[in-house]
This record gives sequence, structure tokens and C-alpha cells, in this order.
Amino acid sequence: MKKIHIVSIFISLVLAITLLNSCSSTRMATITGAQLWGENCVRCHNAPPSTDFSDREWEAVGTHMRLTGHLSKEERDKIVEFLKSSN
Amino acid sequence: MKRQIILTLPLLFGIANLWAQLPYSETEIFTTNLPKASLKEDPLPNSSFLVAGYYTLELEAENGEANFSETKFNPIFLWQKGQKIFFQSEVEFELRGSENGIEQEINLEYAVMNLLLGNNAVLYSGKFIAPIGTFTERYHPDWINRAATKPIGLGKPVNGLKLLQPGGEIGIGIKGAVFVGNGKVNYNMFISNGAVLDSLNGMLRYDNLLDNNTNKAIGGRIGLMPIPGSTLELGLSGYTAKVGSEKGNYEDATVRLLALDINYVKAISGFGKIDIKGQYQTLGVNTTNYENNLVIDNSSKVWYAQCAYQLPSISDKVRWLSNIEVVSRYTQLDVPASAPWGEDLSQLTLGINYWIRWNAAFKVAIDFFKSDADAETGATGVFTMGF
Ligand code: HEC
Repeated sequence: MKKIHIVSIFISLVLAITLLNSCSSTRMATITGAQLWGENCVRCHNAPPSTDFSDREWEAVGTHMRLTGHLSKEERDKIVEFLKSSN
Repeated sequence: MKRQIILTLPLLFGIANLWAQLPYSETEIFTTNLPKASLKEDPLPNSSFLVAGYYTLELEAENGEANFSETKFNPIFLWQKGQKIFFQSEVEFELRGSENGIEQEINLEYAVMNLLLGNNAVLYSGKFIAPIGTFTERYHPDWINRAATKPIGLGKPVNGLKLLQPGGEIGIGIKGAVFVGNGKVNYNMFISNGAVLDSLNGMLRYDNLLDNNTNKAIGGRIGLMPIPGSTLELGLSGYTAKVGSEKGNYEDATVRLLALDINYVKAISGFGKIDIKGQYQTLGVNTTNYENNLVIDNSSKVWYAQCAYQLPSISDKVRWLSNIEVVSRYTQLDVPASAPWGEDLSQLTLGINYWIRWNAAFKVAIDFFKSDADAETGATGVFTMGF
């Protein structure tokens, strides 16, 4: 019985979050990739210089850090674009 | 039998004939049907494969002995396949000296298949590091951890106890970030096999591929980032699971874990960088009677508070000054007094790091351990490099 509860909580969570999926903030509209990089990439470790990875490598690192650093896709894309434009 | 062969032969012949009549060989299809220019374009612009990871060498001095006590190499494999799929895995190769000689370990730290669902959610499955507090999930790699040692109860083994919380869990989960006003909330929820209770000593074993019951663990963390533009993050995590086997004396044994964490990093030009991290957690199992008449009030607690300060770069002549970081951390571990693995212990860590790159450092630290009965001091040096 409890298992059914857990599974239904999980499914409703997935549904709720999928609905919220388009959720973004007004701040996101104006903030730059450089600012997001400065705010986010120092939280857990020293921020890496953009020259440490190639454009293609930043794609993988960007998604890896989206997952580890809990970034939205929009934040991840802006940061990756910034790093790719300055490496 | 004969009839079957007679019937099958023309069929095979037909298929072979069709094959032969296919207009192009595979290479022809790819080269002749596509406009020439597109061959030069990246067929999967968002796809990428990368091997990252890190390396560590540790020198430990304790009780009048100094040893290169541990060396390890952790490759991390990252596959991004288009916009939706991301696979990540870390394997740890570890060599450690112990009283029993050399211990060699190969561990699958994590292997996670992620399905990226739009802007705010990621569905994941596999073996992952449980998002309970932040130290184990985020700060444990040696090139990330600000100190040369880990907090007791959160990675530094003491009396046979290494982690007072799940490390790797096997299951599925969902995580992501949503914006609320100008603030941000991140979430990470999972269902996993869960911990298993050792009925001999009341200890919990995590990392289980074979659960001892049908009940699954449920856990997760919510992180609040209330101030836009600030790195401040406050986290609350929880974890619960039935930990005893389905039938028997321990069928109702349940673990409950709650953790709070804080993180704040700020660089001020001319002053340097401050990095504050902390975590507080309690863990309890609602069973007191174990085998061989062992009675344990099975609740434990661990907390740590850490502050690191990296010097500023004052002038070009002494730029190296800004590579220096000092760190202090206090950790307190409270475990049940009657448990065989029980001894309340505090750990004061004072350290200094020299960063040679953003992800490589020489770190040294002195740990002052104190229990009711005695006090011990240990020195640790670490050379670590991420790549
Ligand atoms: C919540 C903590 C956290 C945040 C925020 C974070 N990182 Fe990381 N980062 C990690 C951890 C942990 C690792 C080590 C990899 C692992 O153990 O999976 C890592 C590894 C890396 C690596 C090494 C290569 C790799 O992918 O493993 C790079 C490069 C990196 N981070 C860049 C960034 C950038 C750029 C940002 C800003 C968008 C960022 N990080 C934000 C925690 C974080």
C-alpha cells in the first residue's frame, strides 16, 4: 500500500514539474551568460577558465554542471554560449 | 521436412534477390543522397563525449609514522547525445595502506542516465550519489573539498564508520530548478533500494544492489537560493526507508534522516574570497534491541562548519599570494554510546592550500580529534588534480 503512495507521489511530482517546465524568471530575460557564470560556477569549486575546454567539450561539461549545480536549461545554455565565445 | 525446405528455399532466394536489388550500398546512401555541403556540417551539434576526472595522492602522518597512505584515480565519462540524453559515470581506482596491508578498490561511484526534460527537470536512473546534505554529493572530490581531510561521519572513517548517510544509491529520481519570483528553488527527489540494517551491531549499510525487503527508500533535497545574484544556498534534505528484512524481528525497523546545509561563497576585490560551508544532520533507527542482547538507542548526529579564506592578489609581483587559501573546520559526531562503533568525537581541522590551477592544489591540514577518553592529532598532505 505504502509503495503505491510513494509511486503516486513520484508520478504527481513528475507531472507537476513537467507543467512547471516552462517556468523561467523575469531576471533570466536580461541576465548574461557571463553573470550567470560568475554567480554559479564558484559555488562548489573554483570557476574554470573558458580556455580549459573546447566548444564541443563545453557542451558536455555544461550539461554535467547543469545536473550537478541544478541549473535550468536556459541558464546552462547561456553559460555554455559565454564560455564558447570566450575560449 | 522436405516440404519445409522446398518452401523456405524460394523465400530465402527472394530475400537475397531483394537485397541485391537495393539501389545503393550504405555508403552510397550517405554520400550520394545528401547535398555535399551538409557533409561538412556537424551532424549532432549538441553531442559530445568527454573523459574528465581527478587524481589524488595523500600523505598521512599519525602516531609517529608518515606514509603515502592513499592514491587514487577517478575517471569520469560524460556522453551528451543531442538535446535530451546525458550519461555520466565515475569509476574510482583506489590504493590504500591499512593495518591489513594494501587495500585495492575499484568502485562504480555513479552511473547515471539522464533524460533532460525541457527547462526545469531532469529524470535520472542508475547509481547516483544521494543528495543528502551537500558534502557527499558536491564537495567530496579532493580538488573540490577545501580541506585536505574530510569531516568524520561524512567520509573520514572512524571506528569502522565512514558515512552517517547514504552515499551511492541505486534507483530513479527527478531533479532540476524552478524560479520563484526572483529567487530560485532547486529540488532533487529519488526512490532507491535503501539502507540495510546490520542486526548484529545496529549499523546501516548503504549502496545496496540487493535490498532486504520490498520497501523502497525515498529521499531528496530542496535547496533555496533566496537572494538573486548571491551564491547563498540553504538546503533541507530527508531520507526514510524500512531497513529490516520483511519477516523477523526487524520488519518495522525504519531509518529517518534529516539534514540542513548552507553554502556561501563571496569574492571581494582587494580582500580575497570567503567560502562558508556547513551541514547538520540527525539519523535515527527506531529499533533498540539487536542480536546477542545488544541494546542501542540508535540515533546519531553529525555536523560541521567550515570557513575558507583565499588571499587577494595585491600586486603583480606577489600574484602567487592569491593562490594561498587557509581553512578551518569543526566537526562533531555523536553516535550511540552503547554501539560497538560508538564513540562521540570532535575534529578540529586547520589547513592551508596552495592552488596551482583552478582544479589542482597542494593541501595540508592538521586534525585534532577529541573524544571523552583521549585526544589525537594527525597531519595530512594532499596533492590533487582535476582534469
Ligand atoms: C553544486 C556544485 C557545483 C556547481 C554549482 C558547479 N560545479 Fe562544476 N563540478 C562539481 C562537482 C562535484 C564536480 C566533479 C565531478 C563529479 O564528481 O561528478 C565538478 C566538475 C567540474 C568540471 C570538471 C569536468 C567535469 O565535467 O567533471 C568542470 C569543468 C566544471 N565543474 C565546471 C563548472 C562550471 C562551468 C560551473 C558553472 C556553470 C560549475 N562547474 C558549477 C560541482 C559543481
